[in-house]
Amino acid sequence: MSPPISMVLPMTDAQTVFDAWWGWPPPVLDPAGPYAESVTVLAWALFAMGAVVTAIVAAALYVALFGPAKLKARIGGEKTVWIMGIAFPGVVLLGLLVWGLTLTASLTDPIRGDEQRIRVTGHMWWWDVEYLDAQGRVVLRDANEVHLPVGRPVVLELRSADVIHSFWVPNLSGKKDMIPGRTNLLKVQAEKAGYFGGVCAEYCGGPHALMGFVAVAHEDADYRRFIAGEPLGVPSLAEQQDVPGQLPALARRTGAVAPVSAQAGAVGGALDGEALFMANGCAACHRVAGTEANGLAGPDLTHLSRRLTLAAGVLPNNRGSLQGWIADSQAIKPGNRMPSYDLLSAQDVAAIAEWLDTPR
Amino acid sequence: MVAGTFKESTDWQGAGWAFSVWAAHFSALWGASSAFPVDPAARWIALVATVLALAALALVWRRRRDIGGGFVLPLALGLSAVAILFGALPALVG
Amino acid sequence: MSETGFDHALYDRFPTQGPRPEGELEELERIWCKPTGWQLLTAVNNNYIGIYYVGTAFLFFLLAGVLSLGMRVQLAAPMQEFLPLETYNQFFTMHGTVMMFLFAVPMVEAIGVLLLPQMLAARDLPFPRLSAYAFWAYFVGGLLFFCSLFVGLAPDGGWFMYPPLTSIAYSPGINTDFWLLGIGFIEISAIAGAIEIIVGVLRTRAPGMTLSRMPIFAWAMLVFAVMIVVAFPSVILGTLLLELERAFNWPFFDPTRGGDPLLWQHLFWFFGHPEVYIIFLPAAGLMSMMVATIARTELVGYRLNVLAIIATGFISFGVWAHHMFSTGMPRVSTGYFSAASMAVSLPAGIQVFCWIATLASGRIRWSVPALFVVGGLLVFVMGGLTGVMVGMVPFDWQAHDTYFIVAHLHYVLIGGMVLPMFGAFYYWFGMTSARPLSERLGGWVFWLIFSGIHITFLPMHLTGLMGMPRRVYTYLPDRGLDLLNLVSTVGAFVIAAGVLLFVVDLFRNFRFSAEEEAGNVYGGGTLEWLPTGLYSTRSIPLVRSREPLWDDPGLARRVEEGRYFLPGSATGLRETLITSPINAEPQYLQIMPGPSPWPLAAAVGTALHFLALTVQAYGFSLVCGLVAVACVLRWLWETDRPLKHEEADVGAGIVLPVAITGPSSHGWWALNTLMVVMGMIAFMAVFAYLYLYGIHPEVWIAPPPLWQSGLVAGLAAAALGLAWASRAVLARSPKGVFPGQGPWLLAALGSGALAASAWLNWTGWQDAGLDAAASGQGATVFALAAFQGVCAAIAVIMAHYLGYRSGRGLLTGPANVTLDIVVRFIGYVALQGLLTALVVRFFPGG
Repeated sequence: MSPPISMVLPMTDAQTVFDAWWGWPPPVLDPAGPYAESVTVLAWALFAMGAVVTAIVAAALYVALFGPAKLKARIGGEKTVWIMGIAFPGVVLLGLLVWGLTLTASLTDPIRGDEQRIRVTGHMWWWDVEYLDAQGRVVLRDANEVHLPVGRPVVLELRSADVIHSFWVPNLSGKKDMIPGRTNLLKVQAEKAGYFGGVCAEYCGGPHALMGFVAVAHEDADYRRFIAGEPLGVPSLAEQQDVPGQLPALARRTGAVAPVSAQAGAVGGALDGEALFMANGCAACHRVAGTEANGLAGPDLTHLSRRLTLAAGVLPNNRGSLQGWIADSQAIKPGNRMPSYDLLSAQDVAAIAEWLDTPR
Repeated sequence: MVAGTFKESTDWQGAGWAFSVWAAHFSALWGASSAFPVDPAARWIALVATVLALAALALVWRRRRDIGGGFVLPLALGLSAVAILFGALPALVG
Repeated sequence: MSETGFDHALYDRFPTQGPRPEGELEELERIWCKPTGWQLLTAVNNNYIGIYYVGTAFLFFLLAGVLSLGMRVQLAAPMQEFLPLETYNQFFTMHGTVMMFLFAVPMVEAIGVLLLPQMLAARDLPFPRLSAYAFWAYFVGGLLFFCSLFVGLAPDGGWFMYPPLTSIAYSPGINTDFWLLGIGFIEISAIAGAIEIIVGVLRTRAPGMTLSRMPIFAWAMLVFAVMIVVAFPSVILGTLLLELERAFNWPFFDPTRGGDPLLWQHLFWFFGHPEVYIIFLPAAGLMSMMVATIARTELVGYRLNVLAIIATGFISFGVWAHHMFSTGMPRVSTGYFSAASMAVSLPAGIQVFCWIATLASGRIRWSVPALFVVGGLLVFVMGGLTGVMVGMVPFDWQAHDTYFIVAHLHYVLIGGMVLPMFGAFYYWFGMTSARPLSERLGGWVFWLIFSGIHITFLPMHLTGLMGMPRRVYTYLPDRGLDLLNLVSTVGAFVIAAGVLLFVVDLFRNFRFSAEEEAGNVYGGGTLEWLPTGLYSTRSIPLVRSREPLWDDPGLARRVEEGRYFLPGSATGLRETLITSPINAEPQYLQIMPGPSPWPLAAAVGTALHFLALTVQAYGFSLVCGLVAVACVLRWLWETDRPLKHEEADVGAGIVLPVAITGPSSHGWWALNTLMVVMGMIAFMAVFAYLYLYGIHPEVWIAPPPLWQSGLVAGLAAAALGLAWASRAVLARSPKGVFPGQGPWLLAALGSGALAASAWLNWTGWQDAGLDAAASGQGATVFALAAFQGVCAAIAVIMAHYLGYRSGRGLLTGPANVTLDIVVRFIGYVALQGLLTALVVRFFPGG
């Protein structure tokens, strides 16, 4: 595959965004915080139990089928069933049950009230993320990324705007459903800085497969900068002109990833981008703080320049993919709620992308 | 196996009773925890229900032990008791 | 010492001695004659219906398998475009739905219909026309449902159909209605089959076959059928509620108006998890039967195994919410379901070790069924162990809704049901085909399927842990998932190759025959291996042990010579022996209905009724519904006819009554089972009502005034009394004497009181200001009232049918089966109306 995008955050070294998400080691077995770690220990114990019991059954079966008559006679009676089929599993299951129950209790320890509060609302097929202060006021509205402070507990308030979704970052904890009419609380804590992949785990129709996000754990200072809306040292989109290598299939399909420089066209400049954004109705769904755009049906685009991905974890965020997304979002994520603006000229698309790229 | 008589010698209905006790116990526990999701009352109801369920199993044993059928009734009562005790654990440990 | 007063000493008269009368066998053959040509459509005999049923279920297995191949091709590489996402979503929904509802449950039920009468040495199942109806309803309904795929209208909400995704707001098309009406309808067919099987196992066993001598498959089918009766009403109610929400905007699942999406999940999984055991238990029964034959010894731990089946039947009803651990339910609640999930593993362990111990205690004769039994056991154990893992709440929070679960459930269901099924195909093939299947090809079939399973599903454990969620039509590249998915796809085609080879062998060797069949290829010891014709065995043997053929080598010959019960036809009609439920003592002779076109016509009418509802052709739907009701009544008309004989000699001079009425009759048992089904629907509806009150009490309004509730209850009580009086008046009439129009008029009056009670209940709530579309209370109260209204309407139809029969002079004293059934139904509906109306009017008190 082509080289990864170099989007280096302050707290990571050469780690690359997409590499860090999934893959090897499996994130369920690669915990990054206490709410995942104890489950990983349990998981290994369960795998060991599974392997041992499978081996016992296979061995018994082997003896029953091919073993010497003397051994066969020893297991060929009801005693085998009492010992191996009742007593042994009874003891194993009792032990597992007690472990499971105590672990469940420790993973659902009560909310103390001093945790960082983040409200995540599932939409078909993206995530609305609001950072709250202790009083529950929204201090920052963002989308498709969840930023966490390292070493501090965070309570996620999970809701849904339409159908049932499920919030899952395997490195940090198990999943929790987002159910219309309810608010589910999920406590997580990251013990190390880094990027962790997240997905919607509950089938939510249409392009459910393409409803992902990134959880980013920051050291405290970085986290404060993030909440304040300051740039995070991410190279601006304009500097990242290279075609993202990660998604050749998507790139082929959109045909629009080779970015067009707005300045090269007749219309140029950030101001024109804003006018085009308003004139084409984008503001009906999207909010850009400090402008007239105040739509709530789609992701908040205020801090788009800081985002790592587009289309809810599908495309790496750079100028080319942003232009491709605006021009032909339906080809990239079929069925999503944003129409393809394929009637716009390449220059118009470029202007809008450039305006959106402006750090705010 | 050629058995002489044409009369059923195993108390299969007794097994049905044993597991019915489990079903009642389970319903009581789940009902209580749904009605009082955060209230400790649910745990107390669970403990009382467990004692009652075990007593009911003992009653089944007293009433039916003479019907016969070897280990079937004791094992049914035993399995039901294990399931009941498993079921009571979340009220104690969780 | 006897259960029914039957003198066990009479058993000593068997086997009878001396020559049998001339032409006895020929008469039997004439009565149970072979259908030819168009008669194949009107056949009701279990040999035919069973084969049709198994064949159709296997067809759906192949069709759903083809869908899975399409899905695996799409997932072979990241961001493929083989299937567009709309198609993929329909494919995976249909794969799950068809496998569960149109393959697995019907298949085990079909095997039951095919095998049970022969295993129990009954002439047929007790309600042959009901089997025919259940089959044809399933056949027509299932095929129409599947065809929705070809016009792009197949459901796409997943086989679990969670609202609000499946509510009208997010699924406006009729795709979802296809699922709700199609599946709801097919469930009704499954319930009809279950009633048949319960009565069949408990009442048509050969004399002397006490419960402990039943073949273990009969035990499994008994528990299976009881579980269907308890579990399926829940999903039927769920589909009705969701359809009401979609069609009339009643907010059962809409949280903005006092509904709750999780209500659906409770209703669905209360059915959905027992469903897994409903599929597994009969297959486990088949395993137990085959294991004994393979090891050439009796099953070790027969009673342990039966107890395990019973225990599973109960405890599997306490695990449903382990599908809902991540919904945020109270922690203690999750613990209860986790505990039950652990407990239910114990009986499974008992069964597995019973099989291993049996294999160890005997001398193995290797054969294709042996391969499938051993392979199935291993695969099932592996799936069961991952099942224990996901029964642990914290691990489930990680594994839930990922490919880990896909791997788990396929191991369980393939190891627990599909492999035993293939083994059973080979093992019992000789019962219905003149030629056995090839042992040589069979080895290939097994190894292809067995290795294919591991190639396909073992890697999925890992893709799940790597974060791949279920139900995704594609995945992004560079996440380490590419290779594992490609391996899974290859494995799927290996399985497909094995299945294809089986189909080839099927075409080469399947020659249907009930008389000249290949027979007992593997040397089984149970009664289905007696020589049979379409009438099952020539005479119905006296059963002295679990494997009578092994213990009594001369049995087959003597049965064939007619030395036991019913050596010919006692009445010149199709008949079978009804025996007592525990000791199987002969009680009476049942006259069985013969071939009839009406079950088929009723099934087509019912299927078209539901199809027309789906496409919103309400007029046509009504017509089809009426046609179906008319066909059912027409078929019932012949089943309760005046008899030429009141008693008959069933062999060796033992005289039994013919076709009795009252609590010992098989019709009474079937009606009681049906009442359990209806009672479960009402019970689950009351649960829905209380559940929504618990979630959103704020939308509840005050109930109608007390006097009105009193009147509703009083009318229902009056109906109960009238129903009782109707039977009492008939009972005063001497034997065979027509008592006049009194009894049916009382029953009709009773049904009228029911209708009045239901109507008053409905309008009373309306006057109290309750609006079905406004709140969860309105929706559930009116749903209960509507259910009661439908039951009352059925009671009115039944009363009129009774009146028509009375007008023809067919109601004679002192008891009549049709009247018994009608007044008992009226009485039940009265009680149901009384209880449900009072619960919602007095609790939680408004």
